[in-house]
Amino acid sequence: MPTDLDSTLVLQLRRTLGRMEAAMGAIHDSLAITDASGRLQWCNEPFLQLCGRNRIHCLGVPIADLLPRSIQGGSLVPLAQDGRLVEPSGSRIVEIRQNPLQVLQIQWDPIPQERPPAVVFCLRDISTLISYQELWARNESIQQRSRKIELLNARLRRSQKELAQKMRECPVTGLPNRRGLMEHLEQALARGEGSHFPFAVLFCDLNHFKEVNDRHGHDAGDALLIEISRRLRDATRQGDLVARLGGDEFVVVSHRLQQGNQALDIAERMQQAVGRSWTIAGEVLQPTMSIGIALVEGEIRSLTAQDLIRQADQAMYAAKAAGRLTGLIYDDSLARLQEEGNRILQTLRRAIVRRSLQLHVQPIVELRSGTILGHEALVRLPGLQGEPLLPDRFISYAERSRLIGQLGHQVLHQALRSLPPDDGASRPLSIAVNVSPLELTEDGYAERVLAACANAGVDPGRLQLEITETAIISQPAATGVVLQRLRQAGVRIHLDDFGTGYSSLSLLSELPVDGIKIDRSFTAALPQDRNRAAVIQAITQLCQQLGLSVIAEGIENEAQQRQLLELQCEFGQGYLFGRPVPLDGGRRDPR
Amino acid sequence: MGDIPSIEALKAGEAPFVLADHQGNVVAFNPAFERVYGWRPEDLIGQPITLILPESFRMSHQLGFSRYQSTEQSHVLGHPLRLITLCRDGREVLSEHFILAEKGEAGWRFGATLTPLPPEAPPGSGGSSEGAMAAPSGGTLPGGAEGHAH
Repeated sequence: MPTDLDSTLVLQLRRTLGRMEAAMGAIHDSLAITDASGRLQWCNEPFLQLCGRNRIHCLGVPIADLLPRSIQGGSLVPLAQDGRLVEPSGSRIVEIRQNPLQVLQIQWDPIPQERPPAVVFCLRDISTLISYQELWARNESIQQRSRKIELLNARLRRSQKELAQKMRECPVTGLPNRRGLMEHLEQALARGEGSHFPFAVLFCDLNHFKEVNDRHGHDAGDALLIEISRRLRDATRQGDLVARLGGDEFVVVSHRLQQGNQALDIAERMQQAVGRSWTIAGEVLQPTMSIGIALVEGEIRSLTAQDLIRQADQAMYAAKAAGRLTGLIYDDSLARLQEEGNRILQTLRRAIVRRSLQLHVQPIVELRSGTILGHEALVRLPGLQGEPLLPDRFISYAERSRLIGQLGHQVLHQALRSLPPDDGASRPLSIAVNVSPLELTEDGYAERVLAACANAGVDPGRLQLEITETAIISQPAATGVVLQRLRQAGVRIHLDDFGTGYSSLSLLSELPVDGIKIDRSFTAALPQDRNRAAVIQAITQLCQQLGLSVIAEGIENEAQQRQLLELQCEFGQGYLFGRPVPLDGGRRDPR
Repeated sequence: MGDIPSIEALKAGEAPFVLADHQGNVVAFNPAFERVYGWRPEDLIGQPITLILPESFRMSHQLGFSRYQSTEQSHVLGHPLRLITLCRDGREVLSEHFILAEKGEAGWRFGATLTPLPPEAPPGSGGSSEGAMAAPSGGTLPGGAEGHAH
């Protein structure tokens, strides 16, 4: 039987246990005690709330079955297949809900003195802590993103600035582009520049740039542009602007000139700088430019940047048409020329479309006998104020507008059709056709010429192509291949207007030609000008030694004829033997 | 809920009945209890009432009983509870317990009727008709807890 002391002790212990149990129910953490196999033996009230069951339903039930699952669906406590804990003690943090966030920190420890040991579980809801950490992390993330966005914005602003810069800059040469140039000019005009010191806009067009691109590729073309840019910068003064408009066009703005004509000196300096030889793929080129100049002198309120560019452009075209390698300053007459040029161009287009170009022929004779050996075909542009225009009035427009190919083709066709059939009895007449340098560098030019001969039923040996020495010398490699192909087929090549270009007599031996035509300016000086006569004699002697034929142009009288014969010139043409006469358009015997 | 009967009224009834003292020891039970659950006086009189509870309920009972000693608050008294009762031969019988506590000169005493129920889903498996007899949350334990007097 228990003693009173035992009973008192039991009562005290019960009270103590009761208080402890009440205290366990009052805390926020979930507490549970299981047997060694994980079956619940005791738990406090928060644990019941966590499980969502009442106590009777929990007791004896495996704790893993009572607790909610993690959001991944797994058990909150690591259990082996037999339901026992994988680890006797441990802790883990498990997320059981995402929205709102609920995270539990679970800790379990055995009561080691017991065999088998019971296990005490403590489950603490750390959602608030995690939420705070998460909020902190999110805030940090937002701040990081904010910093990142700020960084991106800064980069964007920098890029925009760079882009704006690039918008004003040619990507190939790094020079200001049209936009940059226009802004520069507008600012200069807004400052009233020109009222005290003149300033000039020099429009530069690089000649034969297309050929460089076509033959050597765009990389070579870009390399040339970069080189030209460098040379132009070197040739201009500090404070001057060098811009690239695009293609082969550059513009230089030269400020604070002492006088307007100083722009011509600058143009010459630029031309010299640009004209230095430049080697690409073993080929030596001597770049040239056509330069037009617009001057701003005095107070010109109405002039805009566009006006200046247009004026300089018109002057450049005038310089190009005139074959000038020095600059040409714009004046009002150029505007009139431009208007006339536009009219010529329209007429030319119309004539090509309607195939209404007129062909004239002028005889080429053997000077000693006067026998007609052939003719030179000379194109005329009809329909402009009555009189047909001579080639020197419209060929430059045809070249500039790239109509020259079609024009040349029509002329060649007509010229070949004008030839009488070869009857085999007498020496067949030849026909001479002028060729533009631009035609020579067109793809398949030689083949088109030979095809035209075949079409017309004309032996290529009866065709003579007249080419200026400048055309060959400026692009020796490109023209060399074409001329060689034509000569192999029998076509004869003559250097036209010989003596007016820049080549020396010594070059004659190297050029792929069959003969030369002495320019009329030499013939016109005969018989009085002994110096010219001496030059002609030197030419004819050299040509004889080289096996080249020599034709003198512009023979107008018998005295000239006689002297040319004395100078051993065998062939000639001029009014003395016949003025150019029109063909009717069809095949016709020009005899 | 209607009027709560007294322990004496339970004892006078025909249902199996057990009486425990303030220490949780069995002081008496009726023949019906002996007949149904197999316990004999020499097995149970003077022994802790937890003998008739499954092992997994005993700890909670002790703590709940102790808590009642301290707080005199219980959620299991005076209404039926569906619980497992352990027979002398070790069988577990689902029973409806109705527990009352009364305080006399000798201290608290606890009387309960334990009426066997047809076998069905055992407690703890959930989803039975337990609702009305379940211990309220935060309350005491069935199987004797703070008011389990036999």
